[in-house]
Amino acid sequence: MKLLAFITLFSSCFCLKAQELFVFTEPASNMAKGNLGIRMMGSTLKETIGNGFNTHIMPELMYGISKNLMVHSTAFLSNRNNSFVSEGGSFYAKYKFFNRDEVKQHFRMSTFVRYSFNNADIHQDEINLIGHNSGYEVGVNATQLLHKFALSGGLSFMKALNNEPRYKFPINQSSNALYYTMSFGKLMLPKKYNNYKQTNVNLMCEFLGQSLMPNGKSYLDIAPSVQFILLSKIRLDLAYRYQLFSSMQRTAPNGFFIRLEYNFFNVY
Amino acid sequence: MSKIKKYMKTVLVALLYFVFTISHAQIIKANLQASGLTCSMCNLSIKKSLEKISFIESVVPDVETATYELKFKKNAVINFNEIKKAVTNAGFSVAKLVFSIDTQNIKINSDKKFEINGFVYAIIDGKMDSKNATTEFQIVDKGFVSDKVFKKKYRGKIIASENVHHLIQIKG
Repeated sequence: MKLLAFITLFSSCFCLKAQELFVFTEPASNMAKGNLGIRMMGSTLKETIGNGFNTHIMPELMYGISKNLMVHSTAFLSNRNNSFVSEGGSFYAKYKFFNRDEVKQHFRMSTFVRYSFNNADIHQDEINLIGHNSGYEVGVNATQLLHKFALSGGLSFMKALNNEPRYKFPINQSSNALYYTMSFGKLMLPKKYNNYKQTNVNLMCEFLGQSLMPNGKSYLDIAPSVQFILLSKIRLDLAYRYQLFSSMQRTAPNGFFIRLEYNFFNVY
Repeated sequence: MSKIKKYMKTVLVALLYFVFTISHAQIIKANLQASGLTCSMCNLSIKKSLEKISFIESVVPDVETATYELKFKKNAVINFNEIKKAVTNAGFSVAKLVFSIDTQNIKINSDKKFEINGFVYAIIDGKMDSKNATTEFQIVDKGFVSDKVFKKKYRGKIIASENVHHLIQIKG
């Protein structure tokens, strides 16, 4: 109840206005047909045991195949085992199946699927298909834009597989999970648009939760972030992810994230 | 020989008439408002998508209102469906599309329709304003106005067709 009250309080404080280019979740909207996005994400996370930090680097490509379908592919590199190595990758596709637009407003729904592969050792209860586990995810998300405010929610099912070739998924851990997210964002600057060169500043806050099935272990994280959009084509995200509570064993839940993205228009 | 000359003259007159009519039956410019967006990145995405269209000469955006002033190439075949497609391909929708047409030399049928380059334009409200050099019309077909406006005002009154646009006159 305390948590629910906190979430309600936070969301109501966040004013009803913003943007939906979230750091940890995808909105239901897609990128334009023929546009290509290149991203580089870096994160440094504090290990729960000892004083070490894990650093992950994730280059990513995104492409709009049609007005309703877009795809991502991501590579995962990490120094978790001291030296920097490539651990795996991910393919993601999102299909927008509902779209209702009004001036400065929209409500959209999409469904997505992700397949990830990873060769690292499996070292935590949490199922994380972004750089830790092999597996797949299917889900839906919905996004509402209201002028400068955006609200987005997602629900998905995750299935962890063996991290081939060396690491079997531990038989004493749950390999199924429900993943649920709620994201809020607000466009803070500019107050009024005059041209494409104005830097956009968005403030965002995301809640990211997971429940393992059938053992019921769960966590909930909060991830505030600030985003700068430069020249209407470059995006810089700075975020911090913090564990609000957890009943599962996680290796390094808290840490900083930085992401740089560049968009190319009409590539094909 | 004189018959051939006469024939050639007729063909030439017909050609000149055709060129004259085409050059004057001009859709000059359009103003488009897009819906579903606030941010400048989305706005730029629509602009880039519109700039790909072959018959568009220039796109001048107003980022704050998500409107775009479209100038067309002279004597080009204007296909408004392509404009709608460019906006939806960018991930957004057309909320309003108003165009200006050179009033002279447009032949209006008795059922308030006119044709330019294979597209039929049916005026469902207003008229071609012969007192002025240009007349402004808004296209009110599905996809050219918001879903809310279409359902409220035009659903059931318009028979959708790819090559027919239904218009209302925008008055001064």
